[in-house]
Amino acid sequence: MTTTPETRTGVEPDQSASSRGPLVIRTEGLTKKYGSVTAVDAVDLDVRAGDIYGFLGANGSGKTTTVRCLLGLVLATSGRIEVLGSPMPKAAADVLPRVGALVEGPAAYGHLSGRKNLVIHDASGRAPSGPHGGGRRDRSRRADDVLEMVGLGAVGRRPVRAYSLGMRQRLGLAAALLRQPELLVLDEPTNGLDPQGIREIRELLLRLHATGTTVFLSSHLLAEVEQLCTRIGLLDRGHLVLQEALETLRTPTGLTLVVTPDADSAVSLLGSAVEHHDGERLLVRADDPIRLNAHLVTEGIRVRELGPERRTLEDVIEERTRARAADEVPT
Amino acid sequence: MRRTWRWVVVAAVVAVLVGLPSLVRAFPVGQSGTGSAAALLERIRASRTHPYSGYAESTGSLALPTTDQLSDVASLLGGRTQVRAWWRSADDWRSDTVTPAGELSTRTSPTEVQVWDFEDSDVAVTGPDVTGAVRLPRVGDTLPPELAARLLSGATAAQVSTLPPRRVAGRAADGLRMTTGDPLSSIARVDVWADQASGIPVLVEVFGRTGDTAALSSTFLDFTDTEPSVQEVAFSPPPGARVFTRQRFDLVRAIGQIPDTNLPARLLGFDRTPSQPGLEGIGQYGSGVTQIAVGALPERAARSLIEQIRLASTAVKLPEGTAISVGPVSLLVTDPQVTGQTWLVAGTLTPQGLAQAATQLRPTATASS
Amino acid sequence: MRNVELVKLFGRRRTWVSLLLLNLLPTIVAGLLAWTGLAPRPGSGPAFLSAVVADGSLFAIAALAIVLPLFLPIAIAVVAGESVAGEAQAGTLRYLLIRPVGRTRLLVRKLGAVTAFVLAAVLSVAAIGFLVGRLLLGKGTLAGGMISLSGSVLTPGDIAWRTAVAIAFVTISMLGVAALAIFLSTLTDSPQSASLGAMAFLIGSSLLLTVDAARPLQPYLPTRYWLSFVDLYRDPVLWSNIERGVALQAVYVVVFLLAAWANFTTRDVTS
Repeated sequence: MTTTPETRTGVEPDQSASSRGPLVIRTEGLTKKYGSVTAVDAVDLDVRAGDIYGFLGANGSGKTTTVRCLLGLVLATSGRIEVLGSPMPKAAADVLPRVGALVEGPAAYGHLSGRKNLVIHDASGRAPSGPHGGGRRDRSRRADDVLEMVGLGAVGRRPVRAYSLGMRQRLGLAAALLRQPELLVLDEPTNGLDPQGIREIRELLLRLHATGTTVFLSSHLLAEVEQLCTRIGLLDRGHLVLQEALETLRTPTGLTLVVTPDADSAVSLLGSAVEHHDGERLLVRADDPIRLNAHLVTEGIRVRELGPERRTLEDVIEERTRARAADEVPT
Repeated sequence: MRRTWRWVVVAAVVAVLVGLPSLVRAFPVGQSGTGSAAALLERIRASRTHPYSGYAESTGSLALPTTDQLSDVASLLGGRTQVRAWWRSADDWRSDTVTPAGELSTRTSPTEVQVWDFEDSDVAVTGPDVTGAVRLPRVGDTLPPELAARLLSGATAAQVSTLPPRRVAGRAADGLRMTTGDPLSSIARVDVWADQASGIPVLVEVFGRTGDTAALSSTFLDFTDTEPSVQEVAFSPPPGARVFTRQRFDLVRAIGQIPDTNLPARLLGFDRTPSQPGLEGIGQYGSGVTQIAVGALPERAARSLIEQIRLASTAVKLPEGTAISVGPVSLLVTDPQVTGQTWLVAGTLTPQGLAQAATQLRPTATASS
Repeated sequence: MRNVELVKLFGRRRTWVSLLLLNLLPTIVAGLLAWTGLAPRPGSGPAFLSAVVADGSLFAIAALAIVLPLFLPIAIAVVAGESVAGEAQAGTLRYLLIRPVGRTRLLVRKLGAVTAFVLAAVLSVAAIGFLVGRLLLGKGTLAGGMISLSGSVLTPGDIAWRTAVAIAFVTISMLGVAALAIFLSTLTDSPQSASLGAMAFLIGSSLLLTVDAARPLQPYLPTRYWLSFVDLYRDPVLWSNIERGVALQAVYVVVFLLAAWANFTTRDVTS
């Protein structure tokens, strides 16, 4: 599934995989069937410590089912899942306390305050011990801390029924953060947030990431993933069609993009070096862009723009999903 | 799969729990110690004086076809009657008819019979039972020992056979079957299971002429053959309860007032059996489970008796008179307009059967009226 | 840890409203009895109702008998049906499970909370029944005593332990309903369906009890021994039906909880 960087010239190989920390999420042939429908088909995920992993896919592509499998909510039909080095869902009792998650929107008891919800959520599991602990006594302090962290400090005592969708989303995030998790699994965390809120959450996630939290972010919003993530996985109708460092995807392709009003003259001048010709845009194979520019200009061809070709994430996704079925376009 | 084996566990537990009662019931009872049917019959008869206490349920089956004679009797019983009994001796015992929200407690002592009604909060006191008296049937008569004693009273060794022993109320019991062989009787056969330890009947099933289901069955749900304590049997009217004396309707005396010596020697094909001394006014016919007793009633006594019968919810009105049934035993007080004389007819026939017997008592009177 | 479920249950206004409604009906009945002085004809109506006019403290038991056939099981079916399906519908189930709370542990806690509710309901009905009876109806002629169904006089000590056993028995009788509703609650994500399913089962059972053709089935029906708590007020106590009732409820509780466990621990939580 992974693309091999060696096929492209001038591209640094994905060295990060070996240099980064241990595997945080690993699945092998993860498959989930609902009756005759295969929601997730032989997915091999590979998320390492320190990643902000963007899990992309259209609605209904199997993202949420995969996330639920990872968390032990849905039992896989076949395949193996390892989270934080232990098999799931067998070791759920040991794994899940180290994981914070937001699955398919937040949920809380409407008649209780946001703060009370957090306290109850905290109290419903085993009293924490070890590095993430603090015990029972620290419960309300922890609740206040995370409320402050997600920007709900002022409204924590209001009943959740009076919260807006964005506030609920923040509360859900606060619940996920309650345990200072090593791994955050977030399913569409910015749903319902205004641009300001989205920015705040992004900053919060980056801050957490900086302190060593691995983030698994499932989303259908390309922009969100592109701005935040270090690695992406792309799910298309249950198949993982791409899993790559974002860096790698966006490295220059080795071709030089030339935009010129005199495209035809340029093509005849450069001959077979032109890989692609589309209106004013030419993709040229050239070892040295500076020399290419000089060559074109001296030949009297006007150059509006010249530089290394970089593909957008959208291009890559389109290409990968088109490879599976030409008639479907991802969102 | 995890899912499959968990459901297998559930299914196994359900199977064990459902199967447990039948397993206990199938637990081998062992061989009867009594041996022959005649010996068992004797043993049952000998147990009449053995004290016991228990909780019995009698059930009339409605599964019989309605044309069957006996089903009328069964339907009169309606659903179930539950009776608790503490029996020390024939004149020292208590039986409580248990209803969902109340109780009718009957205390029989040598001097009187007290009936406590919880819901009315009153106590009716009557004189003691008179041996051999013809009296109205009552719920205590459906207790297995009482019912068996009545049904087996005329049984001969030739009529009985043994049944395989079974477990009743958790106790091993020997089975005895009595077949009447009498086409006119409403009863085809009676199955009695008697407690192995004491010989006390603990289950009685009465079968009609048709159908394989018991028309009447009476069984102990709980049973011990130990003597109940005096306190358990004792009863004294609670404070605030209304205590009143109810005049016992003394049929013996009433009938004895006009001894009728002209009773036929045969009735419905049954021979008359010799009357007890002092009870010449009462004619008894038949033997075993098919028995009829008749006597002429003075007008006043008849009116009072009909009133009493009508109070019972199970009373039925026939063209020939008013009848009441408890179990297979029915009692009919005839209308003199129809039978020429007010007769009291009681026996193990259907009320209609009794009515037929009543019309045969005075064929000439019926013809002349 | 179990008190989390208790906080959730009793922190909800709905719970208190259902307890209030449960106590309202016996109170209305007591008020009407006191006002009109018309007791139902003996043998008809709920147990003890014909006797309470004379002795108001009996109303504690009469109140239980009033709510037992319908109102109490409905309240319990609603609360127990809500237990898992309610969390599923609100979406909080998935967060509970990834908190993590073991699925078996969650079921046990839910059962604990429902049991607490049953106990609260039964105790409140008995206590308020007693108070209302004492205040509105007769004080009785016996100093603290009462007349048993069998006609003997029960001392206050007798009444106390018998009533305690009666409350325990009614609670156990209701646990069968609770277990059934919890099982149904793990089958569906709609608490209403779970509650209605449990109620349908109970109504079916009550109906079969009145049908003679269903007699072989009757000893196994969950509602068969419900009203047998009355047997505690006979003298001596008629244990037979109470023992059978407890055994029957135990079987229902075990079977339905096992079924709930088998289903819930292997189920995909997609709510």
